[in-house]
Amino acid sequence: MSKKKPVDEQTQTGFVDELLKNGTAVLTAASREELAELVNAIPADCKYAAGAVGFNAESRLYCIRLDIISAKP
Amino acid sequence: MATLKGKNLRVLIHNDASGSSDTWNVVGMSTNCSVQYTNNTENANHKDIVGIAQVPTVVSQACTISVESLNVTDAAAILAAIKSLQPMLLCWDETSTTNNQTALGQNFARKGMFYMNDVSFQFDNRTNATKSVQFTSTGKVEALTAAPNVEVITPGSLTKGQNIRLYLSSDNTAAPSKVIASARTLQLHVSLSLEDATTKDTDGNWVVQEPTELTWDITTSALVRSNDVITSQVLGQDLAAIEALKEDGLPVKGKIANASGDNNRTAGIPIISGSLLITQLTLNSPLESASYETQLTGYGDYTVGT
Repeated sequence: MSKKKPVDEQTQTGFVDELLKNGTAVLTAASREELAELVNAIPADCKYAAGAVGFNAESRLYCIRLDIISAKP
Repeated sequence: MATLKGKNLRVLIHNDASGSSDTWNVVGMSTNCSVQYTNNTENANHKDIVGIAQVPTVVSQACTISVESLNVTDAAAILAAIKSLQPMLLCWDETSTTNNQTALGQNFARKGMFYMNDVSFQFDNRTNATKSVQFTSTGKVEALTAAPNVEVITPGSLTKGQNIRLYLSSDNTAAPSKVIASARTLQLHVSLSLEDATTKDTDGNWVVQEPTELTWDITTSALVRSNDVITSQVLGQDLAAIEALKEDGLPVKGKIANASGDNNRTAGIPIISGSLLITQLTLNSPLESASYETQLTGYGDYTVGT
């Protein structure tokens, strides 16, 4: 049985995969700081553009849209 | 029959101008849109015509679309799109009242290729950030042959203007790390100049455009503080510091980034960066609070992203 990944790690992995596959992705987190941590964890060789951080009052989540500029070689 | 509500007249952007998938998206969180057709005319009066009044004749057609929106989470994508110098397929149509997104293919709906040629973001203190985007047609704008297949999107999120700040350096080599202290407004504006590239080979009388030059500028205003010592510890620049930069007359490094921290001065994820030159500094002193407005013009290309 595979070891279950922590939630944060799952979110981050899924997000990076989606970003590389689709060229764009929206990441959500409970705080600006968490959002920044997730964005900072993106591999350095993956160049992306980030928009303004938004806040959704219904879900109470912060979000950021990232768009790939150049993916990993 | 009823009057169409403006809420149900929307601008849609095609997801793939190459045509491999035929889906469209509305401009998310838009608050207003306008479509303006222009018939460019030439005075064809001549001596055979009695009277002195002009006789205008249509020589070419063009169209501009502008959209205002509360969604600025796509700021980087918009800044990359205008810089890409590529036209995109746009249309406008009535949308269903059930979701305000599904397009109905009305007989007044039109589509065409457009350049995004003017973008403005407003990040003001204690207000929701906004963007305004203008598109100019290149080539024919025509009726839709079928209702656009709209990919319905979920509503986006709001951004508070105070959480987006301008950071400047003191010269063109150091990293931009200092905000303007007591700043209240911030506007980022990018403009793409277009040139009429129509030739005798061009089919029809719709103007064909080609991009020529990109310019960008930033305008920000701040309160003038009296006897307020702005130290490097709080990473702020005051009027005197901005005056010194203006007097130097040399480019400085600048960036607009998401901000956080106790006094909202800690730079987070950047949106745009580049070199800037202060081109105007205006001190306003009405009976109420004194303020100053700084206008910076982009010096060379800007960078979107990392």
